[in-house]
Amino acid sequence: MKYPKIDLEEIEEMKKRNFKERLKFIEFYVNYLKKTPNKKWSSEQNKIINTKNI
Amino acid sequence: MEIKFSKDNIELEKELNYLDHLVIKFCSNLNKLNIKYVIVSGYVSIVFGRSRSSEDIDILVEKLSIKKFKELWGILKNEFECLNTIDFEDAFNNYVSKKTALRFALFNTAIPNMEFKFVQTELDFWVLNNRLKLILNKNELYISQIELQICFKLSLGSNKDIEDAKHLYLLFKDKLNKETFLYFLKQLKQEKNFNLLK
Repeated sequence: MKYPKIDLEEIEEMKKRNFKERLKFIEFYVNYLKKTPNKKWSSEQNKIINTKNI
Repeated sequence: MEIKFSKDNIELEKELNYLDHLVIKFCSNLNKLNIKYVIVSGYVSIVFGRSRSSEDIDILVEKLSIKKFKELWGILKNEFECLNTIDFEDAFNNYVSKKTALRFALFNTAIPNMEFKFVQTELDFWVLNNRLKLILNKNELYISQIELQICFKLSLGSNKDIEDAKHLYLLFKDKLNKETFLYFLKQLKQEKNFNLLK
């Protein structure tokens, strides 16, 4: 079996990019929370929490 | 998001989740016994909508005498079990008194659990003495000051912690006490990381 070469720098770049994207998503998500009724956002959040996928 | 702010507390009404129910159950026992506590760390972000869950809820508790601790142990054991030990003296002498957390979970579960510690440091005492009352669906809980929570999470520095800090900052930035926020930002040497929050 032929295995791929691993470029650690490339992975490091990818991790940084992912983190930046997640921070961007938080901006989007907090804006969404601010304009969304509690009943709606909490019901959506509960789908993550109540499945116990931690 | 509708949050009611008043001088002494924050009120939030929402659909409760598994973590909220766990926290409310646990803290109602502390409230009943007039034990002073404060919830810190991840749950403070999660209760305000952060899109993640957690395996534990960190709670700092005033230092209790062994008599008071026994009383608490007695009522907790109606619903919770301690994952570290079944003996309250062992829990008191070899865990909480030695700065080691106890973990309490609902019967026959391991996660999520309440990570229970006595206050130790000057910062712990500050957060306990300056705790914020949160009325969550009519239930009384006490959480950390948001200003400290943001700066502390930022200082922990993992991606998850920075995301928690940013979540709280963006949600509460118009309500923060600037003096308190800047004090902790400076003390925790996080001024240069402030741009991560914006």
